[in-house]
Amino acid sequence: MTDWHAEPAHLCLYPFLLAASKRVEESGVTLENLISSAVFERARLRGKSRITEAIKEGTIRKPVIISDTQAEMELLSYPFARILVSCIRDERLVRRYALSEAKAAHEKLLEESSRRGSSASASANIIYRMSEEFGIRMDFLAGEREQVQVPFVDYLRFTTNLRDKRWKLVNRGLGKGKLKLRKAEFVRIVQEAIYERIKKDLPLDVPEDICKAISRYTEDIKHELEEMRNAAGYGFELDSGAVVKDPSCFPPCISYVLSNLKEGVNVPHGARFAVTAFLLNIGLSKEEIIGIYRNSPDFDEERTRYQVEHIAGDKGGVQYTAPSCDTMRTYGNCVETDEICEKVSHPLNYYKYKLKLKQKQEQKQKTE
Amino acid sequence: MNEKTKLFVRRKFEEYYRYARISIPKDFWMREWGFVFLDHYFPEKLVMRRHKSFATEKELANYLRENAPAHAYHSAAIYKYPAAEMANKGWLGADLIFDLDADHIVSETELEQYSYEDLLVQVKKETEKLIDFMLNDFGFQEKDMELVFSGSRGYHIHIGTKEVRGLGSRERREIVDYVMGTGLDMKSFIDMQEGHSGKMRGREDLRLVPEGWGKRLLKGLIDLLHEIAEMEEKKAMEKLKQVGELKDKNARSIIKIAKDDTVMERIEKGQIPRFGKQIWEGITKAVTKTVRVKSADRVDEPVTSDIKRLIRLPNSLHGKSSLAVKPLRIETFKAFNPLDDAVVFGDSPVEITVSRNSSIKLKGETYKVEQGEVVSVPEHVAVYFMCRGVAEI
Ligand code: SF4
Repeated sequence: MTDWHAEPAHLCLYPFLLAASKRVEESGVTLENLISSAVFERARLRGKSRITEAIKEGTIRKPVIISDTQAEMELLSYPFARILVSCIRDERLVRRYALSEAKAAHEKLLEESSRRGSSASASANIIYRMSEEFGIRMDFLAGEREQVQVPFVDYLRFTTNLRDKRWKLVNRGLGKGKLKLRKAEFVRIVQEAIYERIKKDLPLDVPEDICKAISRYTEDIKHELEEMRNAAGYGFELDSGAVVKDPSCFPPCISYVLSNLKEGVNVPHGARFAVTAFLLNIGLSKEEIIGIYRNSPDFDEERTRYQVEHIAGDKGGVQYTAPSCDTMRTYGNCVETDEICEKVSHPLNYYKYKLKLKQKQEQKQKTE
Repeated sequence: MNEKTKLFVRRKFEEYYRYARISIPKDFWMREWGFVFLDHYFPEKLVMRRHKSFATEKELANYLRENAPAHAYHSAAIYKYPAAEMANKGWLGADLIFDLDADHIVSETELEQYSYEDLLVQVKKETEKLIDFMLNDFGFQEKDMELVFSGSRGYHIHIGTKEVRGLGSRERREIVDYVMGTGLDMKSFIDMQEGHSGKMRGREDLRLVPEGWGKRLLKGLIDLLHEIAEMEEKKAMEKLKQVGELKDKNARSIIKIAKDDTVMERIEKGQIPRFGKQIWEGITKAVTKTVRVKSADRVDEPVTSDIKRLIRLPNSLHGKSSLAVKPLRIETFKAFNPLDDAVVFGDSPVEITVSRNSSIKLKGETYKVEQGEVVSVPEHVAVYFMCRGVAEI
């Protein structure tokens, strides 16, 4: 069994590990070199693409590593990306970037940890490695390859941000202080740990002159960011690029949740229900709605699909109607109201009302 | 409480603190302390003297002896600078504290109907449940759990292991939710391969995973069904409708299950028939209600997730009852009777003037006093009534 984390080709896929930063340190590459030497242009460009991928796709593609040089560039691109994010100083971008890194790593971990057959021991190895790295004590259940046991204290450290009911401690079989997790669940918790670690000291305190020196990269990123935000702010863009429904007419309660989802902020179950029902009611397709949830930190395609289908009435029931303002208020989902809110008692009516208002205004403008 | 009475109580408290063996909490020098004195504000206004700290045990003992406080508290938290203002204390960690008090368990409207003795019995039951959660679910060792009678109407559990010290308030909140069964979803404990294809297993029984709440739910379900089976149909209906908030039709099907021996046999083995959704929810509700640690739904829940609060010092006195805040052993908890075992004052007769009707059973004797009476009672009864504001000297 090789000690995989000593191999640069493997290590560079998890650049936030302690061993990775140690390796960067020992490589002798100075900050000066990293930001200006021509040798590292590849690392810098990859650093930039880490962030633009985060902006555009909400995840970061893991390359196939074929050479040691490439591995080194990949490894160095990470500290450079951190410097870039820090210079841009945008809190939402920091969150999105950290989340994308964590998600990408999660995916890779999931793939590596679910290998069977001859790689089975390597797949257990990676679980051990992560548990050590993040101080989540863990052991495999006797005679089990698929389930691990974790002390509740370590479990709680990384799960209070996960909103889905199944993560609540009360819903885990807790016995003598320990609880069982399927391997995939363990890896999901590792994602939280990674996210915390990456976000922890961002933005770094980067001196002004360094930020200036790399502004040609940051300008590009800022541009991407703005473009993404404009698109999101203007319409509800679908994969096809067509704008069907008019989000500028959504009530505050719905817009609020949507923007949280976009930023990767966790949204409680009740609010998710409200938004899903609302969007279904105004005619978005299930696929479109699932697409919206893709950004959420605990996105799980199967579950989301199940829930959306359930609300859509596919499971033999009728389609749910979005909750009324009263209900929204009761559950604390009615946020910042506006003047229109005072005229309506249902978020759907808010939407209809504002849509009409807008059409009238537009017509008026035309005739004028 | 007039000044003369206050002076008398103070003398008695001083006597107690002269010889008392205070349980000094672990890392006491890193804790914040707070006291309420028997001063001229007392008891109308309770002035809490906070942000104190003691460097040595001796200093603390002297302080208690000199001031004979009506109430003595220390922080659940340990700090770098315990005597500093809140913002500058430098929080280092906190014990996990559970505070079960009668008025969290019995709702305000019901509170009136219960006598003090009854309340103590109620709260003890909940405490026993909590201990079971701590030992079996959370896996704490008896030696790590300090169980204390609060001196009034409840019990505290302090857990100060290194493990729990670092928990933040959201993590503590999860522990609160656990013991109270908040957010419990019975489905989490049903072993069904619902996974990827979205298909459930065939029509056979479901298996309830007997771990954590799953175990409690299963046991609770069996107990409930047995209870139902023994009841008259009408009573059983009533019970199910009440605790499970169930409709007639659903309640009836549960009764049918309860009376069906073959189904019951399977349930006892952990195989649960495929109930409809309403029935599931009703059963979960009914079972959860009896199994969870009760707490009226108020902000003051049993485990506090407040990581900066103060908690009563074990072996100090409670100024509203004169009873001791008594550390207890879990093995002997069942036999503990606060109205006997937490009494610290003696039996010499003291004459009191009663200002309000009241009664109490202390050390096995019941004392009933009426307004205006002048009576002679044992000292421990006298101090109790004075602290309750029922009598003057
Ligand atoms: S008043 Fe109604 S429409 Fe407006 S924000 Fe609240 S819930 Fe939404």
